Amino acid sequence: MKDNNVKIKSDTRLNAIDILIIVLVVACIAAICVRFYFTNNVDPRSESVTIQFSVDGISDVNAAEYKNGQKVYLSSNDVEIGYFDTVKSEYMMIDAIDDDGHTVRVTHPDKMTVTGSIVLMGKWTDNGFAVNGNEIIRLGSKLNLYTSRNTFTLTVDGIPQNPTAKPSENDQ
Amino acid sequence: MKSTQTRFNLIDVIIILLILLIIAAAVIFVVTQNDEAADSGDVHIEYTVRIDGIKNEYLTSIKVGDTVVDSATGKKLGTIIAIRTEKTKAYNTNKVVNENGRQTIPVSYHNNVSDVYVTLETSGKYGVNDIPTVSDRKILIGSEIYFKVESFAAVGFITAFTDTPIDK
Repeated sequence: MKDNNVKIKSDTRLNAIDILIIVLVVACIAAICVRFYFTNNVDPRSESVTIQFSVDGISDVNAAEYKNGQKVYLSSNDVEIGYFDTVKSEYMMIDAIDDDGHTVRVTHPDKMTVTGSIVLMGKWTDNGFAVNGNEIIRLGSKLNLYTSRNTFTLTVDGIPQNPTAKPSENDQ
Repeated sequence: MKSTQTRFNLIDVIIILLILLIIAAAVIFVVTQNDEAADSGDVHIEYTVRIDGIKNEYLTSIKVGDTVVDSATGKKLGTIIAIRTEKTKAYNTNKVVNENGRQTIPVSYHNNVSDVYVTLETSGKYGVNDIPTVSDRKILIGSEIYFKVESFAAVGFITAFTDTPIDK
């Protein structure tokens, strides 16, 4: 005889796998939110530094394009990264052999060198100044940059001391 | 015989909604990022490309009216409107001369090799940071150009440019 009192069980049970998936998905969303929060609230260009620079081997026409106050952008990601503070151009110095067979420094007949100071934005870290928060610069570092008129590779010739560096025992 | 029941329940709906939410957020993020780099506005551009050290026998391969394409991408870079050639310079670092009050090295000129200045005109767009672009290449002094005409190809770089917004 058929038992009419048997209850039909619901199929919408929350099992362990479902809970695990929901937890994982919520964790992913939370991680993305946290990432966005910190990305948006930590400015990688909150500090600035004035460095000495040089750009070698350019034509006189190109050299004339470098101007004080001109905005500068990083070639790698198009972020505005600073501006020229002071700019000076002169004939590039090269080695040559004089009549006595000595190596001497003379000027190149055509090529120019642009030197000066540039203000760059970034963050000081324990390892040095990080341009745009991610590219540590040191003496001799090369940076690929551009302005509204030209593109160039800049060499870092002078950089101030790291204000975040801990003094060594010898300094005390 | 008992059949397997694969019903679509409330938990499945929640999971699908969450996944869709993540995909939508990712799409919004990508689209927002790309908006910043989107081109805006048309511009008429004239620019000069310098190609160093071309053998004189190849000079006739570059003619006014030729279409120049990017040899890396195949995209059009412009039409040649002017050509100027100069003998390629040779620098002798084994001698020092005094010229205009400064010590420098003597310059001589190759007879069979030339530097070519090719002026192109084209229309382009103002891209990111309002830099004029042609076929995704930034037009800036010093930019490398992968220059190609019908029977000649070389790498040059931009020495000058002018950009004039086109009124619509």
